Amino acid sequence: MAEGQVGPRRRTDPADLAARVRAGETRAVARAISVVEAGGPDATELMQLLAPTSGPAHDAVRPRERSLVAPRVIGVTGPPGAGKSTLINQLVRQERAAERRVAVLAVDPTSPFSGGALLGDRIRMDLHSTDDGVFIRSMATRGHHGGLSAAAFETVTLLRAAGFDTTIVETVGVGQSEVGILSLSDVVLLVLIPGSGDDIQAIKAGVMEIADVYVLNKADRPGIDALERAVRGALGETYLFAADRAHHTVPTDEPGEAPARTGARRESAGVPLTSPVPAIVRTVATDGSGLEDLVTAVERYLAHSLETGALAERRERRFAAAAEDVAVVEIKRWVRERHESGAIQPSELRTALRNALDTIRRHE
Amino acid sequence: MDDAIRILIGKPGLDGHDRGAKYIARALRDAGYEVIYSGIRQTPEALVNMALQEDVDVLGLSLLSGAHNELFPRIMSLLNEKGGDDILVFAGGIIPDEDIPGLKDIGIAEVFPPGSPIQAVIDVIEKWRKDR
Amino acid sequence: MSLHDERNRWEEETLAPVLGKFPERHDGALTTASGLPLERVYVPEDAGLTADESTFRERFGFPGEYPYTRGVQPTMYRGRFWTMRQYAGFGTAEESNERYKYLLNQGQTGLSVAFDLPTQIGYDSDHPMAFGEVGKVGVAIDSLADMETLFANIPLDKVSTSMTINAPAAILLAMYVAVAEKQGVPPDKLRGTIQNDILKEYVARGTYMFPPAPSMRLITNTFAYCTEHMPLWNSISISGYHIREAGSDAVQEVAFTLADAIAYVDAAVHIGLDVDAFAGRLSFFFNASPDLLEEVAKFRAARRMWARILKERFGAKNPRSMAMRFHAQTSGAALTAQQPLNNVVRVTLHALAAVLGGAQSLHTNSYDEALSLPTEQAARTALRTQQILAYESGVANSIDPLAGSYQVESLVDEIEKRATEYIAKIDAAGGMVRAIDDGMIQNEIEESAYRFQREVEEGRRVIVGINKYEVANEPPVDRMKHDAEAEQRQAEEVARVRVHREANAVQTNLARLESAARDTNGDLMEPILECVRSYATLGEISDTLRTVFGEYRQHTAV
Repeated sequence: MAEGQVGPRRRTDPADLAARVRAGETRAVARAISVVEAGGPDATELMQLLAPTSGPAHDAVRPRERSLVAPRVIGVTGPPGAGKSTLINQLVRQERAAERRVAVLAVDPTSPFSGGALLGDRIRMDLHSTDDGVFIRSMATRGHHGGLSAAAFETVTLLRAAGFDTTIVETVGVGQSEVGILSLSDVVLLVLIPGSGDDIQAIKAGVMEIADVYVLNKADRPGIDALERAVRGALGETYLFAADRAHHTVPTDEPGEAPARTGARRESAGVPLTSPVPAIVRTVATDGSGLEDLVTAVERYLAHSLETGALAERRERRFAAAAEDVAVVEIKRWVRERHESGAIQPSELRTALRNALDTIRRHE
Repeated sequence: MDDAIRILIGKPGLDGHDRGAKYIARALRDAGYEVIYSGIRQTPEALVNMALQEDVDVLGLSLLSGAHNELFPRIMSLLNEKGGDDILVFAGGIIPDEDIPGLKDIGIAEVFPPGSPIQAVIDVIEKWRKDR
Repeated sequence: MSLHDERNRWEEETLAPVLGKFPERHDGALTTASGLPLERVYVPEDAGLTADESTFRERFGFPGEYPYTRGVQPTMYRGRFWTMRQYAGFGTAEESNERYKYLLNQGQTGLSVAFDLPTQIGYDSDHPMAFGEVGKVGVAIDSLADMETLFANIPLDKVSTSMTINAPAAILLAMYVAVAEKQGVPPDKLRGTIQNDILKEYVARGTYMFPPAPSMRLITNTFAYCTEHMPLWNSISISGYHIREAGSDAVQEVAFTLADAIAYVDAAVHIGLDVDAFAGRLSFFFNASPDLLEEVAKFRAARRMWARILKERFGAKNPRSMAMRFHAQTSGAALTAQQPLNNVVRVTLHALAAVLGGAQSLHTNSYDEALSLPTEQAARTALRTQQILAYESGVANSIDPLAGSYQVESLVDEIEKRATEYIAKIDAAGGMVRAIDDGMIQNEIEESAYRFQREVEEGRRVIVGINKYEVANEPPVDRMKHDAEAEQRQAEEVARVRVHREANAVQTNLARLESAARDTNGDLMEPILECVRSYATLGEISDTLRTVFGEYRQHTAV
């Protein structure tokens, strides 16, 4: 089957689809995401129709324009069994209580062997399965003709166009592509549980650095203090002000500039230097304890990011990353096509690409 | 793969025996599909919402309690009502032969008895893909 | 001292006192079909072998003695056959009552009640979640009124009743006690079992209602109630059956069941119960699966492990606490929808494993299990299978006949070793409740299930009629038909009950239950009994508890 086609079912005209997405029709939003994932001509047309007047695309086009904190993109990651989905269920509940429409995008790895994927922690999210204000969608990491970052970015855009105020992106945080997606969020939550303290060092480099809120879940278990010490240790002793913090950590730290050492590490992992100091929050997601603290931490983080310009910077990067993603995918495709009609030398290719880009620049 | 077919394996009703459903989900993943498993105790409304939000191409229903004659028709009519009538639906579980024609009449493409090989399921999906 | 002397000691010390009360079936004169003499129980010397006496005692011992490898009673089936207990129930209470009376009439010796799924999950028959499920996999019970019908004309002081009920076990137990009261039978005369095993519901069977903490509390409340009021009642049936059906292997079945059991004993000890006061009323429930010798080894290994755990881990003093009594059911997952009559043979083999393994009671599946609920004919054949094993096969005439088989004993040791390793791993993870919460147990079971199924798919494991010796166009078999009107009738019945009871009493009792539930240390059995007696429905009582406890959501993805 040709690329860009969405499954074996009937095609929906992009203009019609865009109109129905704007009307907030669930079925249309769902189909539109599939179209975007497939990355064909329909996707291009659809996104052009949806982008100009919708919120985040607007933000993306003019990232410096600081409007509201909403629509927000909250990234949630952590090892399997950390209770991410239970926590997200609780976050969804909080968002709904605040009368915000919320979408959850669960990203799961595609099997490198079969190309198939087992998607979504549907099981744990069934609380909201009949609430029209909640939209839950699973996405596999591979097989995106338009690139995963672009697909995720455009999905957030169209969810906004459909009237969703918050998007929660969940990943298991194991592969590079998941980390890539997370870095597109406005705020990143890393969920850890007691017993995993020793494994902190084993958490993929790049995840610790980009986390903005450390959620120490299952905090009613023994070993929670050790976990917090391990997190602090991993972050560096100069990082948080351990001495004057209460035994039960809540995000008491007023947002401020990160100490230079940590800030530099975060910066090199792609987090804007202007981003606030990360917070540590203890929760028991199964009974909702600590949820208010978590929500407060997230809100404060976003508010402070907005103030310092970090939020705008992140969104700009999100836009740039998605754009680069698209560019790389398109060029790779073109190269593949060229190879199919006979191998070409890299030097030839360089010349051809540069010429093509010059032409593009002249038309800009 | 170029056009990943998306499949929802759903457990409507109250029975908690999901060994078969989980097996089908994993085996279809291993066959190269993108598969979502609903978890147990889903109402028809919840399953149909999932199928639509996930924009699946295929919905597989697993039921062992004997409530298929009540639950499947409700699922099919909700699917039709909400624009999911182009989704391929198949079913498996403890479903007596004499109930199968009735289930096919309401649009269920195939009913697999316990012990069916996974290839039988794949064949139905692939035939449907080709015929579209 | 030789082992023959040791056997003489056992006959005097352990057997004789029991023989006085419960004589053997034929005054000890049991022989083989050809008249060869049979010992009650064999030792290596009977086969011309010698064994180190202390090793023998430590690993095998004698029936009714620690470590119970060879059986929990000194006489075993030479005194009385196992209880033939066929799981049954469907439709309304009235229909199930008819089936029970039929089964008792056919020589069944104990009742085993199957409840429908709404009952098992605490929904009344007219609840939206019950749609389509009422009376399907068992009988629908909404209130004491249904329970009265279910046991009408069945004297509860004469039968023993097993109830497969877990999340709402306390409520159904209360209903049983209340029905007995109306028959004039006090609780201390009641014999039977409630399954009451919530942990395996989270990992294998799926009929949970509340989160683990309040569920464990309900269980310890029933332990306490039974300890005080129901000395003949098994307050729990810790079940490996469903863990196996979900796809675990034999080692996992033993390990996870014992790990569940450890969690229950821990919880009961934690609230101050003396282990010897309740451990003797714990019972177990295992699967009888196709691999005959492995299964026999499994049952024997489980008994020995439990005895050691109770003695060494919990410091039990009373031998009764250490004796693992178990019910067995033949595997449902091993039966095929294809060529269903082959299942008669399969069930016979499974049942043989349970008998050779020393089960206290047994359910044999009907050959049409993979097709529908059993027809009357299939149910009768299943029961006859047990009767043939008991009366014709001769395997019940000496105790623990496979003991000393090199293979079986080696398998027992290996199962014990591997299961012990699993339990250590679970301990290290913080115990069973936490291991379940983290999805560890579910993952283990799923991996085994998947591996098994792949082997079948790839033809590396042959299932007759499935991947070898298939037939095309099988003739249809008779099936049990569901009564399409049962749901409607039952919904009307519960509505009628709600109108005809004393509304004020119900409200008062439910309010009392709610406040008892909010007091985290309070007993719930008495308040539940009050609710039940006033005809509060199962759904109302469950909803009251849900308000306080919340609901459990499933945790694991595939």
